[in-house]
Amino acid sequence: MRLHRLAMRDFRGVVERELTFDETGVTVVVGDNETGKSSLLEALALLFELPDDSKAAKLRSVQPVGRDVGSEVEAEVTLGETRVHYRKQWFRQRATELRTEPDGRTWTGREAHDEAVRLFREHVDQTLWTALVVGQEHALAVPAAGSVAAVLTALDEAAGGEVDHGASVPLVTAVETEYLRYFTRTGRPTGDYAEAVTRRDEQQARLEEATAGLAEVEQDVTRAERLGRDRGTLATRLAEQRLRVAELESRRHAADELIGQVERLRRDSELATQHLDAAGGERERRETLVGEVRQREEAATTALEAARRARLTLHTAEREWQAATTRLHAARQEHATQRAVVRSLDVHLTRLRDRSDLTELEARLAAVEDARSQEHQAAAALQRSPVDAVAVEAAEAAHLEVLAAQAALTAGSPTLVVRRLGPGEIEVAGEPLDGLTESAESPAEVVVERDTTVRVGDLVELTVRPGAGAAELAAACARAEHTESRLLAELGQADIAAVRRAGRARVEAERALAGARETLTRRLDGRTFEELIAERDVLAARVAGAVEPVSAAGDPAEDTAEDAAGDAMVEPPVPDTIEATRTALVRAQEEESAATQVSTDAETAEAAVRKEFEAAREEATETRVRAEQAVERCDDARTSLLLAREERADDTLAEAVRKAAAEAEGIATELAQAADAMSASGVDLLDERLIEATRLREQLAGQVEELQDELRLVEGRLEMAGAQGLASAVERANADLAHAQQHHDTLARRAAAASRLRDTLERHRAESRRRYAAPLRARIDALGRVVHGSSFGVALGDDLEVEARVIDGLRLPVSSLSTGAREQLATIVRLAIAGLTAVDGSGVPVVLDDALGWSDPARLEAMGALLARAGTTGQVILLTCAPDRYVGTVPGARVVRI
Amino acid sequence: MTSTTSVPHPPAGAGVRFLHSGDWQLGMMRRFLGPEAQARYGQARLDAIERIGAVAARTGAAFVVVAGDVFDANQVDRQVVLRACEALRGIACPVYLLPGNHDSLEPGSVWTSPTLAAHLPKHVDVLRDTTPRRPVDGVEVVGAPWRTRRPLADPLAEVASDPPAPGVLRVVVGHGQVDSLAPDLDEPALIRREALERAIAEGRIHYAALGDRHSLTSVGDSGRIWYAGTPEPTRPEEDHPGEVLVVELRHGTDASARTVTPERVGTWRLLSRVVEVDGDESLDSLASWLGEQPDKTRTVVRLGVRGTLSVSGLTRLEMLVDAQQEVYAAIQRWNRHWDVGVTPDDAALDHLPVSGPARAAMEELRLAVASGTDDAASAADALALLHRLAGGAA
Repeated sequence: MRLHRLAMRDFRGVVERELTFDETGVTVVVGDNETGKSSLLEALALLFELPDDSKAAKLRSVQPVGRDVGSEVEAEVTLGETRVHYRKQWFRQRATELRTEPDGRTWTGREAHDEAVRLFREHVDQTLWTALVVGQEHALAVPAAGSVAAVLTALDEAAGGEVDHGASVPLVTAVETEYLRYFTRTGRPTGDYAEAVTRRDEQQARLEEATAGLAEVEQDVTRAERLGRDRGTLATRLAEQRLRVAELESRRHAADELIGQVERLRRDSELATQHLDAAGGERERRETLVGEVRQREEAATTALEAARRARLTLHTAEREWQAATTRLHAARQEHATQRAVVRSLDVHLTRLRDRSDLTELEARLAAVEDARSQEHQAAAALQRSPVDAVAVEAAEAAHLEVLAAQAALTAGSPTLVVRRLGPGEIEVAGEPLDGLTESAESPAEVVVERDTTVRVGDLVELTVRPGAGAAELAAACARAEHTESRLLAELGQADIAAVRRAGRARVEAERALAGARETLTRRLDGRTFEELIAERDVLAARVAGAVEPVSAAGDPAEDTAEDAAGDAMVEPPVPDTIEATRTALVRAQEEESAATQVSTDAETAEAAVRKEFEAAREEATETRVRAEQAVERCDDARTSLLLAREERADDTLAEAVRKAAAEAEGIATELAQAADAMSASGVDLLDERLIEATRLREQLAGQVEELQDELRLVEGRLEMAGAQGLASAVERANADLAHAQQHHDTLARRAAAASRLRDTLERHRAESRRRYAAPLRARIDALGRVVHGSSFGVALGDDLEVEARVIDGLRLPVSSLSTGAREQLATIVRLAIAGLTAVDGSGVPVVLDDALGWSDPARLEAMGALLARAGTTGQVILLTCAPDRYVGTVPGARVVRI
Repeated sequence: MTSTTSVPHPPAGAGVRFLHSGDWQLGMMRRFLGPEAQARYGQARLDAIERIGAVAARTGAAFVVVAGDVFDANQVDRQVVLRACEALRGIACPVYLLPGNHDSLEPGSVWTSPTLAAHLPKHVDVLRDTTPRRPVDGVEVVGAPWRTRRPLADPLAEVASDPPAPGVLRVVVGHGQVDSLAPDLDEPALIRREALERAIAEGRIHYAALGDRHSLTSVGDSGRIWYAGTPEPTRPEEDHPGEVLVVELRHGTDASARTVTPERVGTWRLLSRVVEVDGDESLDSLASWLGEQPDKTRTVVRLGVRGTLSVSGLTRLEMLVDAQQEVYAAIQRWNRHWDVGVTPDDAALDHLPVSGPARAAMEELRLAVASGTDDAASAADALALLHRLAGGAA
């Protein structure tokens, strides 16, 4: 192709311009920046590329700014043997005209455009055009000669191999096109193939997703099955545990009964101990009584002995004393008789107490009632016995006075001894003598206390008058007796013995009352009557049927009642108040004291010589009184003991104690056994086990509940999953994947075929290109040596591209070259290609835009020479804004200024 | 196996006639089918239920038993369940469905789904337990459902240990492999054939309706143990799929007391074919075989091709298969039996207008094809491509 003329109008900033070019040689187009040098190349390209009605974006920038005019380009070129006149106007008055010579045909409009394009394609190797017609922007790119079909054809010839004339280039292009259907230039899948791969991968992912979803469901299924099994197992265990807890609870219940039994036995044991204590107390009292009797017997014996000795002494010394002693003795006997009555009362009280003690064992309530009745009775008895200790003491004192006065009287009065000497009526003190004596042998003795007459028949009447002393003594005696009898009357007692009895009875009654109250309190034991009834019912129910030991408890009760009634009948009335009694006693004491004073005074005055006798007499009296007292007491004690033994023999008491002890022991044994049984039943451990078992049961129940909840959760999930059709999704994904895979495989097979073919072809082409490399390198080297000296050389790659430049043995990869050196190398390669392709007329002009701007003057000159040499065989067009760059360096260049 | 198109009126006297089917596998998809064929195949499996209903009506069957795998999975689409319920509505007599291994009664099973519960027709009974059903007097149906996907014992071991009441015919519905047909005897859930035959000999079972095997199969010599097979085929390997069994039972143990007759209900065919090719003639015969097949839209061919072809023959084979692919439900390339080579010394290649490095490349590919090594197939493809791109005739 040769460019002869190029004209533009209203193209970018250019209003109108026309340039002509020499067919061969160098044309330098010089213009300042922005004058539209570069527009020349653009106009030529657009002319053949875009029809006049094109709306392409790159065309729109061509229309002059702000002017609504058409843009026109006209060119005159030679394509092969044809000279072509070609004009095109865009935007306004759109037009395309084509005229060819020498045949002189013309085309217009779209046909003109199509024909022009056809001619251009036919005669211009696009790869060559791209390599040689370069704008500023590509000036530094070193072209790869291997991709230029024209170069290959030229090299084929130069290499002298099989002449292909580039015929394989269309096949290579077709293979490349086929390859590019499947792969990018860098070998990554693209287009349908990439889509198939993507789809396959997507389907794979979808399948995996669906499978994962289904696997989750299947896991849930397995889980639900396992949960169901676990729940079953645990539910069984829970049921077992419930049974265990129930069994432990019933055992616990049984243990409660055991505890109750122990409590009851403990109470029974306490009661039995109380009974034992009561029986023991009674026996102790009995022993005390026995001891007292023994003691009293000894005391009485001692006193009697003392009295006997004193009486003997007195009897020996004074007969009078003997008589007094005898009377005193009689009085003591009388006393003893009276004391027996007191003893009987005392026994009665003791029996009452014993009965209450007895009945307590049988039925505590009856005992309490007894105690209450005793209390009433004792209170009544106390009411009936107002004779307190003071009164007794007073009575005793008065009685002692009487005894003393009587003794004194007896001792102080003359004694009239009358002895019958012969028969006759003898009257003494108005009574016949025979009545006074028991036998005639012994004389009758009369104590002359007052005027006493002895009358013998009608013969003699003899009156004996006692002395003044004797009369006084008698009066004192009478006073003492009066005092005593008054005191007795006040006390309502017949004699001193009765007083003593009454005194003792009161003490006993007080004791009985206190005892009864204490017993009542103790038997109630801080509880109410009703409670005891309730308890008795319980006890009665328990002991019901047991044979109540038959005792004499009933009989003494009757006896006591009879005795009490009898006593009440024989007992004289009591004084109104204690106070009155006490007042009378004081009065009596005062009077007695006065009498004693009088007597003493009289004795002292009358006869001092009797002092010792009186002392002895007093001694005798004292010992006698003491002996009487001792004997009385001894008898009392004996009687008490006797009565007590009648009531309850010692054996019976011992037996009662023994029985109570045995019973207490029995209950204690029972209690110990029950306590043992209780501790053996492991109540404390049972509680722990029960708590533990209950906790385990709760735990199991909780676990069952938890499992149930979890199962429900999983089942809920499964139900939801069931509605989603996950298995169908997997099936579908599987089918889709299979489909995508099949499609992919088909494309992959085709892609593999394309790839294989391309690789094979490329390998063979590279091989042939390697063969082409030598002539191409020789040409490049030849051109390069003009610029860089004789050591210049290049290394070529597979695509005949320059890989490296070598100068002076120094090898530099293209990428490492300086900008200037790279531009020079690019220009050298272009000129080499132009030289190779120029020979057969298929060549294209070499167009360089603003090239060699980086070259130093020396190199620039060398390059100029090369460009001039290129101009000898072809068309070279240089566009520049620096006229000095080529003018003068390129010999024979035509300069056009615009 | 004979197939009759009409069955006479129901047996007189104390006997019963019923249908035995199984392995409906509703919701099943086949990977060799495209989306459109897939839909038609799924519909065909549902339509088979209607055809079974028609057979039941025509033969006067008292009931229908379906021996497991009614659904392909427990997690099938709701749509499949609803459509199955709808199709079952078309069967007039009682229907007994047995859960099999694909739709076992595991938690979350399709049988407990609210969709099924709400839509299952009243006359359809799911054999969830072994309680005997009495569809008609004198007959009891005992099912042995799969309760889990992986049972550990003979699923039929528990049923029919006692004889039925006098005068009652007992039909057992079971699912699983019979040990005499199983490839793996270590599988724990095999049905013991001997036990089953003993039960039949002792009159405890009168008929065992089995499922799981998709091929119509009579097990043993009693003639009373059958696999009905799947009503629509699922794999090319299956023998006589697409049938439902019409079973007639009368009292007595001799052969005349039972009749089992297959009735066709399937509409699809899954074929396997392997052809040998050596030139245009063999390709002609393959083309005509493919062309002659009836009912192509419901036919799947699993195709294997062995042999050697010229480059143009190879291209023709590809085009032939591609074209039939559009007509058939599917033509599945059977990779195991697909082995087509290219004749390296094909004269057509010699005449190709290629020169220089291109010719050298072609010769290299021809050598690779001739070598018969692993990449020969890929080399053949590349050679065919070169042939096409270089302007060679197809």
